[in-house]
Amino acid sequence: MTTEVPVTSPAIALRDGRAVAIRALAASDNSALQAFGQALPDDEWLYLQHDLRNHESVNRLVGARDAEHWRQIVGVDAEGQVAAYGAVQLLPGRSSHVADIQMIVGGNWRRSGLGTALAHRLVYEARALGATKVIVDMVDTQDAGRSIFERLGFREEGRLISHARGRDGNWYNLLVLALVVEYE
Amino acid sequence: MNMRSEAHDTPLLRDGRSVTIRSLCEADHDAMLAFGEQLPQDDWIYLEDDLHNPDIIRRLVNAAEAENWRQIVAVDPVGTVVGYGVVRRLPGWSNHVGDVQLIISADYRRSGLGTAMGGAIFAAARDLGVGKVIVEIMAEQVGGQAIFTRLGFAVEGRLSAHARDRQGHHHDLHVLAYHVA
Repeated sequence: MTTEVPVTSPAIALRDGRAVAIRALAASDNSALQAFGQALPDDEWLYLQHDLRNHESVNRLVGARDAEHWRQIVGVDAEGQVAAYGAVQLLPGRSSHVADIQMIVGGNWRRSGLGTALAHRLVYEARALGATKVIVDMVDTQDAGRSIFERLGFREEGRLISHARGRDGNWYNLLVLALVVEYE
Repeated sequence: MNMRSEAHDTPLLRDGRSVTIRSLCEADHDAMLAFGEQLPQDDWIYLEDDLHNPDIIRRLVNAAEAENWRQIVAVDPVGTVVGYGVVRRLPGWSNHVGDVQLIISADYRRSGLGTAMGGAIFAAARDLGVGKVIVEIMAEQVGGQAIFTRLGFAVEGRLSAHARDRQGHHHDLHVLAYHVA
C-alpha cells in the first residue's frame, strides 16, 4: 500500500472564478476518480474508451499511474474532487513517436477553460514522453472537444466511418485530430 | 480439429500458375521463415511485423489459432509460401473492426494473387465477425494501395508522419477501409 502524497501544483483560475490544480494522477485519487466517473453525464460516458463508471477500470488506471509510456493527469478542485481526467500514451511499434490523448471534463466544469488548460498540459506531457506528434481520437459529435483541440492547432487527418461503438450499442464516426509538436 | 487449415481456394492466376490459399498452420513455420527472408528490402522496410526476424515468425505461427486473429497463406504446388495475410480484431470500442495486412512475394505481383487473397481476407473477416476492415499502409506503397482500392477500399484517413520505417524515416500512413457487412 502506498502512502504517496500528490505533488502540489499551483491552482489555475478558471474563467468562472473557480480554481483547479492540474497535476499527475496519484494513488490517493482513487476514490475521487471513482466519484468523478459515477457523476459523468450519460452523453459523455457513452463515448469513453475507459469506463470510468467501472471500479475495476478505475483501479487499473490508478495502478498504471507510473507506467513508462503513459501520463495520467487530473484537474482537482480545492476540496480534492476530480473535475477532469486526461491521459497521454505513446502508441506501440512503428508509431512509437506518436502520443494519443484522451480527455474528459466533468459536466459542471464545461466552458470554464478547464478543458483547454488540461489539453495544454497533455500536449506538454506528450513532448516530455518524447513524442513528435500528438493525436486525439473523438466521436464526431463531440463539438466542444473538437474546438478545444483545434484552437491548439490540431487538424483533422481522418474520419473513420462507424469505427467506434458507444455504450448505447450504436456506431459512431471517429475523428482523428493531429498536431505535429516537433520536427526531427 | 483444425478447421482453419482447410483449403479455401485454389485460384488459377493470370499467368497460368496456381496456388492454394488457406489458413496458416503451425507446420508452415519453415516456409514462413523462407518467405520472410526472400522479401525485397523495399518491402521489408515498410512492414509492420519484421518478417526477417525468426522470433516474429515464431510468434505469428504460434498465433495460428488465436481467437481474434485470422492468418492466411498462399502456397505454391511445392509448398513455398508466396503470400501472407492477416486480419486482427482491434481492441475496445473498435472491436467490430479488423486490421488487415497483406504481403505478396515479389515474383507473384501483378498475377492476380493479391486480389484472390483479398477475397480470402474478406472471408476471414466475416469468420472473425468484424463488420469493417482497415488497412494502414505507407503513402509510398502505391502497389499495395492499388490492390486494396480495386477490392473496394476507400481512404478514410491520411495520417501525416505517422509511421517510422526500419531505417528511422517517417512516412504518412493512409487508412483504407472496407465495410464488410
